[in-house]
Amino acid sequence: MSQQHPYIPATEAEEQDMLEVIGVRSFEELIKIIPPELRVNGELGLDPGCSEMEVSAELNRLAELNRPATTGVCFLGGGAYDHYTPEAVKAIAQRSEFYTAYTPYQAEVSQGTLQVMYEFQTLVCDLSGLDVANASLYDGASAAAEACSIALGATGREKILLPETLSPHIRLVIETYLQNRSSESVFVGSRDGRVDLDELAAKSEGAAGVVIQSPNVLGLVEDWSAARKALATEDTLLIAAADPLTLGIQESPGASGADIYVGESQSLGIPLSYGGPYLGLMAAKEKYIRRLPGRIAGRTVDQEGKPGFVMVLRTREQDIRREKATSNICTNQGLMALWATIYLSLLGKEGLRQIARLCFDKSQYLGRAITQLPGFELPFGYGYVKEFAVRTPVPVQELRLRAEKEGLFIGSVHWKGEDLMQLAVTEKRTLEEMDRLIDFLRQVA
Amino acid sequence: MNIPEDLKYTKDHEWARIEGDTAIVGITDYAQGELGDIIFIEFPNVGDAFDQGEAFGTVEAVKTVADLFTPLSGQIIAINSDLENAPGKVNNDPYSEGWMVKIQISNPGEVDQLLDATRYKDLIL
Repeated sequence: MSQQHPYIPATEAEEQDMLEVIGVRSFEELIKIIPPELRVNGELGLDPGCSEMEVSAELNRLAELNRPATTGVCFLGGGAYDHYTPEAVKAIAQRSEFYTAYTPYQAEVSQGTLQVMYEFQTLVCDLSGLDVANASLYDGASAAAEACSIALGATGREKILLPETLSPHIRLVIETYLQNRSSESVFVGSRDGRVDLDELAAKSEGAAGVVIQSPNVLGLVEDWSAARKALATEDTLLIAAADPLTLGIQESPGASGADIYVGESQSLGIPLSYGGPYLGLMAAKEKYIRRLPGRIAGRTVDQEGKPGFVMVLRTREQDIRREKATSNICTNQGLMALWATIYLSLLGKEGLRQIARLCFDKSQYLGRAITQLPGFELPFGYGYVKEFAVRTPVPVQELRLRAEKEGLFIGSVHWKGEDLMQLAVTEKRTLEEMDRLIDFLRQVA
Repeated sequence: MNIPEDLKYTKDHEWARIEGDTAIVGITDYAQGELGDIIFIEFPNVGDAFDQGEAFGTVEAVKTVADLFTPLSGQIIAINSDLENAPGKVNNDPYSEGWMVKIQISNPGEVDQLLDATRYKDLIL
């Protein structure tokens, strides 16, 4: 402790002062409660300190070992996709009045932020076909977990059905969320890569809710309407999880009878960046509005009749309800919600549909081309939107490493004890890039 | 302060109007005044049964949320669903339009344990 360290500003005299205030004579006396056998005896074995320049050089060296998606052709999916971000989105979102916007507690200084939330909520309602939306959550998986909490609270039941076709990271977040409350998650199996509706029907008696993800972990579109019909009790909540981009060409959760919609919104032009920040969407039927976690913005008029935006229905959550809160989330993912709002506003309904359509057409092209190669097959057919699983003649992990050397990034999905190749095709992928992948696969097979 | 003579009261500021083997339940004028503008009431389901003193729902005001405790054991046989769209009726008319639930009394002996208007007045004044 005696040697003055350049990064630790306290001097020996200051340390002595602090010890005196605490009422001990030495550092040794301060820690005497820790038994000697539990202490590190001797030096910690730390390397000497580095200069700022050395640290910077080392970090750069480590950073260069990464292979960002931009250094190759990205067919990776599994919840995060290489979609295009229009420059205009970045330019508008990074305007200082948005980027450093004041947190919306004092309405008079945050009208712009509240207006964005309101518009975001309106867009999420339009996309989902449901009545009310909140101002976003941290990511799609936490939105799914919050939706399960709503189902448990609204029904007073304890059973949540989690089909096998749900992405494993969503399932893990749900199970982590629910582990400390009285609830039970029940597995529902699958048939041909989709939720087994007979098993769903059989297990749905007395269930608070079920989470059905479409496209699911294999990229396949699930039938929410059929799932709704399969549920034994009408008051079991159907929680529809979906990539908002694919809603451009899918029947909306609302029209399919879903009670709650949740989704990961990274697809809406939010860049891949080591897993975050991403954006969770949540919309629901109006009767659940008081159970929605996080923030909700509303539109009203002031004393003079001028329109204004406010936070509404706030007593329900942590600020005031404390131990009665239905969720401990008080905030929203503001900047990313703004980002998605700008993206959707610039694209419009038609633009979104076009991008979804491009993903669909291109991924269908790639899927069909791959099945022409000897040894490759699509075990679940063509009922996918932008991502699909492929059975390969060469072990997938080997294929991935070889592809990476060629600058082709491909993914894998573990399904019932088997590793399948997983490919996602966004609007960014060109014919030339897809043909490069096909050539590569032809050579290795 | 309006404390009708013909009602029974709890220390938690609920009132009960006993009509044969049913009780109509709400919160007192004092309680609504302390809470301020009431914006939401969370009701139980018709058919739910509660023991005396158990929370059967919550009342939410602008700045706080409070539990609603049942004055008497029994089963909920009706809820005042008018309050779902107009919770302010509890503020304006706590003893009539602002009633909350009707309970089928399962243990009539409990009625004697409730406070009468005089004793409730002593409690709050």
